[in-house]
Amino acid sequence: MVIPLKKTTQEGKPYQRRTEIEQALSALDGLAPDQLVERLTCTQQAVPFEVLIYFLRHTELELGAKHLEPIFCTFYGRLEAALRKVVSDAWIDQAATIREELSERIVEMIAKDRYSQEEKMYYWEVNFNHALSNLCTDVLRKHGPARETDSLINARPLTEESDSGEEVSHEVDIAAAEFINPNPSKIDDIAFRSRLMDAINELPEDERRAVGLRWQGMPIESQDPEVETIAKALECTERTVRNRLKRAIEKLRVVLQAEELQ
Amino acid sequence: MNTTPQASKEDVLHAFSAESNPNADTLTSYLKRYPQYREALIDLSIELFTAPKFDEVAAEKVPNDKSKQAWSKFQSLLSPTDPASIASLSMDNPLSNLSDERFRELASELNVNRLFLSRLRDCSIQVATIPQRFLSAVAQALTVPLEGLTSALEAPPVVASGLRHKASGKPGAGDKITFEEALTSSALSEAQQAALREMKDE
Repeated sequence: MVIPLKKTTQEGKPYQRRTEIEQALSALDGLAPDQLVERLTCTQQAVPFEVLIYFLRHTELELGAKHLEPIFCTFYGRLEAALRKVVSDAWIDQAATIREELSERIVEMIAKDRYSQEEKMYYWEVNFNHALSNLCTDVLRKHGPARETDSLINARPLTEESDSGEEVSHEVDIAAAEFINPNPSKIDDIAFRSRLMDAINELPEDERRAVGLRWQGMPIESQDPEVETIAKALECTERTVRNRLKRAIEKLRVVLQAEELQ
Repeated sequence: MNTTPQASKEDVLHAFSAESNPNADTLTSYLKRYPQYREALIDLSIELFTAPKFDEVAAEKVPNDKSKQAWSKFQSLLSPTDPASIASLSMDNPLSNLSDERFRELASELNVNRLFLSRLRDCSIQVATIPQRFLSAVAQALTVPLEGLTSALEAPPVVASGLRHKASGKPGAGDKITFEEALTSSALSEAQQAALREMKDE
């Protein structure tokens, strides 16, 4: 049986993992340790990170060193590769030191979690991308700005309008569309995406929310009162949304252009 | 979405982050259901949407010594009772402390002779060549974990004191014989050898 998460809702129901993770774990449940190791270390059809975390953190599974070591090494190899992409030498000073700190912290967290009664790492089995991305943000924040020459930190908005300022035309929509789909191959690139995420997180809150919702595909406005729009979600006027988007896109474009040059 | 409209903020945010494909539609339905957590849901949706997809990074080969080093560090942090800790591996050879009578009994239970079992006890057989089924049977008969037994038998071979002086160097793994060699050179009967060959992994 797949071990349920110990953390429960206020009604006492165990927290759920994402459906695809629960399914992957069910498919692996009951395999003999040797088969399990073979499946988890397979590079052709890599299992999600959440699955590796599950097998690494639960002592109840009774995996001895012989079987746990190859699973750990597979996890470590994939973690190092992922960290090299998001904490890249190209734009962060001391990237190697930061990556080392991150991987050491994760290894320590898993080891402690194996004998702790607290469910500190449950979320890593639910949404590994978000958990690691949060940890990266914390550690990077501790180390200070990426570097003084960072293009975004030094970016100056081209215009400084207030929310009630000049009329913003539909050009913002076009700019937003271009920004959202600049180049599919690039947006799928983890290093680029990660850089963009950092840039979005560095935006002021109102701009970050406007651009984040637009990027997810939420419309700025709609004739249909049933449709959720950014204006409704952020409780502001459409014009304000457009102004925020315009300011955000100008800043983000600096990052995009810097990326293009590399 | 299995949460009730009165669910706590933490539970609602958890449910959203456990959605298989959180997108604008998912967010819309959550915003309608939990307007009280509007800002937190919007912020979470953006974080989830922008988080890098780490699974898509092809793992480059990490130098073996680096991941081994990380593994040793990990193992050193485990509690001694952890099934993967170093302590669980450093158990004494469970075959060494048996009484003569129990040793004889065990040989008979395993359908081998005492010479063969002595070779196993003295770590003279390469563990990698011993069928898992046979090792499991030994571990079961001795009521010890298979992992611990395997690890104990991987120790360097024990050399009889009379022979020790004759060796020019220290005995090493190279001095071990294979399972097949042990079968043919331990005066086992044909039937015993056949039964043991049956256990081979392939």
